[in-house]
Amino acid sequence: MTRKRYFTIVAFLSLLLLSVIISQQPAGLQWTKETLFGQAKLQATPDSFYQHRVDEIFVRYCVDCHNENKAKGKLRLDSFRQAVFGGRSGDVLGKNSTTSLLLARMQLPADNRLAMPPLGRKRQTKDELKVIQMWLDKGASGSLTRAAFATAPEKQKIIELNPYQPEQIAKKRAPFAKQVAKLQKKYPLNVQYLARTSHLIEITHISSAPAMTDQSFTELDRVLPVVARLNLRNAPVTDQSLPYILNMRSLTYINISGTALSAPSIQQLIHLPMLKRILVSERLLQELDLQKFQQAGIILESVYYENS
Amino acid sequence: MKDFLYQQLQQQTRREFLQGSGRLLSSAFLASAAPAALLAGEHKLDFSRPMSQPLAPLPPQYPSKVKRVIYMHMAGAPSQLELFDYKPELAKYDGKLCPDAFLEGKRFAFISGRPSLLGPQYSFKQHGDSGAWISDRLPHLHKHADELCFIKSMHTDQFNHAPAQILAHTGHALSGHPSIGAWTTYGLGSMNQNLPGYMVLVSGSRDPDGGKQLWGSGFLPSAYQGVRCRSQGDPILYLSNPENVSRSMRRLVLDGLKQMNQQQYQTEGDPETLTRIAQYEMAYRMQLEASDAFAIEQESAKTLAAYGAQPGQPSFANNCLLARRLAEKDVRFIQLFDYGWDSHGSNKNEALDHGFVDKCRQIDQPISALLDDLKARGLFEDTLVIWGESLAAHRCRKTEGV
Repeated sequence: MTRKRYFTIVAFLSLLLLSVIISQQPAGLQWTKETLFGQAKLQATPDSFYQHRVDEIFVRYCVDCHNENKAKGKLRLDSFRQAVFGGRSGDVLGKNSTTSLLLARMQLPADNRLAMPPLGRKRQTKDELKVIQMWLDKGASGSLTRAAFATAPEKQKIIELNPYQPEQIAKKRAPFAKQVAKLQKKYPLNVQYLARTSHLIEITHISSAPAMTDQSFTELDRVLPVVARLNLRNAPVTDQSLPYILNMRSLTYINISGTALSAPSIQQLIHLPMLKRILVSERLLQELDLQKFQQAGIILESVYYENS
Repeated sequence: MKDFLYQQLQQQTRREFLQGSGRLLSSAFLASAAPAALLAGEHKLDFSRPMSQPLAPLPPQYPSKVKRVIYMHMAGAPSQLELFDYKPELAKYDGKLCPDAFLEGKRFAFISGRPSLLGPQYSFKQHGDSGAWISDRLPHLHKHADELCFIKSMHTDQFNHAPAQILAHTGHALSGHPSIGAWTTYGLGSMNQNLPGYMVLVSGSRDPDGGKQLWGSGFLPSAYQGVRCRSQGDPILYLSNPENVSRSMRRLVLDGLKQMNQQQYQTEGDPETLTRIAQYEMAYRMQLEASDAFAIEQESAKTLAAYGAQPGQPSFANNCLLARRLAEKDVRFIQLFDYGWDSHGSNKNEALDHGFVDKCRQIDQPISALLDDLKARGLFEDTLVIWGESLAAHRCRKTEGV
């Protein structure tokens, strides 16, 4: 009898202790809410401002010391969920940016003992701090999208150069490789790949090599889709070659200064989808509808001296 | 490269190895670097070309906007503090003694004791939309302010002219490394096979302190070294045929020479022989193309006036005009040297208020004209024009009696 009662009391007390411990820990509390009371899982939506802008800043500066395996100050910043849970000092996000411990520590001068990241590590830029501040001011939400942060500083543009991987490039080049090789044999100087890492080609008229003529264009027939740059400066090319040029769907740059292409032909180049830049003889400028080029997003540059 | 090694190894006897001891170092380099490169397992770029065409063009690793380079090097190092680097704060301290904190543990050429400071000597203004500071010594350049990119973060550990120039051009203060133009032509070749891929034009009272190695090929094959063009007479020595020698006769001689060189190659297997054959062939083609490229008298009077160039009278202006003509002919790397910028005041020509002013006047108009001209010919967008020096000025006056 007493044993049974004793067991009940111990069971009740340990359950109480367990629930107190769980409720003391935000992670445990959240887990209980989600599993026992069916609340939606606490996580950032894929299109949220957090995923687009805030997460990458945490990854760049914080996650090295605040992750699953190494959580200094018991704080983890490797996901939205963990950031909400906070660390040893409790909540770090605060109600807005002024009450946020996270931002306060980030804004301390670099040589302060409490500054984050600590002295010697790379610090956040002003723009990055601004992004975090704006996010905190709107309630550190995991669902608000970029639209809600229209005034946020632009994302930093990072140019990445891919390593040189000959197999992959060879694969990309394969559909036209034979044709290009054949052309390169005939025009070793005029036909070149844009780069070792590119499958696109560049065709250049060179004064000291065999000329690029209307006749040469008939030989280009099979490689037209991969021509990205076409430099015909002073080449004896006429309107006859226009149909070929209009079929160069990857063309981004064309120099037709000093050629015999007429203004109406040149006007048709606005239909090339990728074209960004045209160099054209200055004498033809008056006959061209410049506005249409502008609308198509094509920069038109004029060349004054031809055939020197 | 594999080809090259194979042929060399196949033919070489112990005697020849010792005979060619000049190449010993490069062999040692290949012996040490080649296996390491193979073991590294990374994809190495292939720079091999047919032996007879060392300058055949190769695509760059990544797509690039620039197709050719015009590199102007001001030998002797113009003072940036009188041209592009405006220091208004320094003006306030003009003539005052230099604080010890600036001198501690540092070494300056020709300075001893505690020198006084020297403020900017010419007035500066901001130009263009970018608001770049340019001094009044380069008035023609003002309108190009927005097309220029100023790099003020360059650093050198050399404080003498020759090693500093060698460092600037080869990346090493000691001699023996390929110059920047040699690397460029080695890596990318040249579009025009009738002219050298790397041409060098020198102006000023004498050659730059660093000498020929500033355009040398170092341990690369000699086909990639810069070809220095003379400013008077034939631009390249023996470019024109001697009297009574016709072009067909020249061809006959070259064919004979080629045969003999081929025989030499068969017995020795030295790839430099093939390079030499290729050089002779290029020289033959060059006779026509180069004479044309160097005929600046063909330019209109308007163009000559814009540059301030005078045919027959060597000058930096002529070289700028030549640079444009060579750029038009698709030469990959064109280098201009101008001597006489060492303005530390040892004599009138080297003084900031005399020689320096003259030198600025000599380069200002031609550089501006070159930029305009490149633009008018549609060459500006794929030509990289570099203006640079090898040392920077410091702002200490010499103490009296040094």
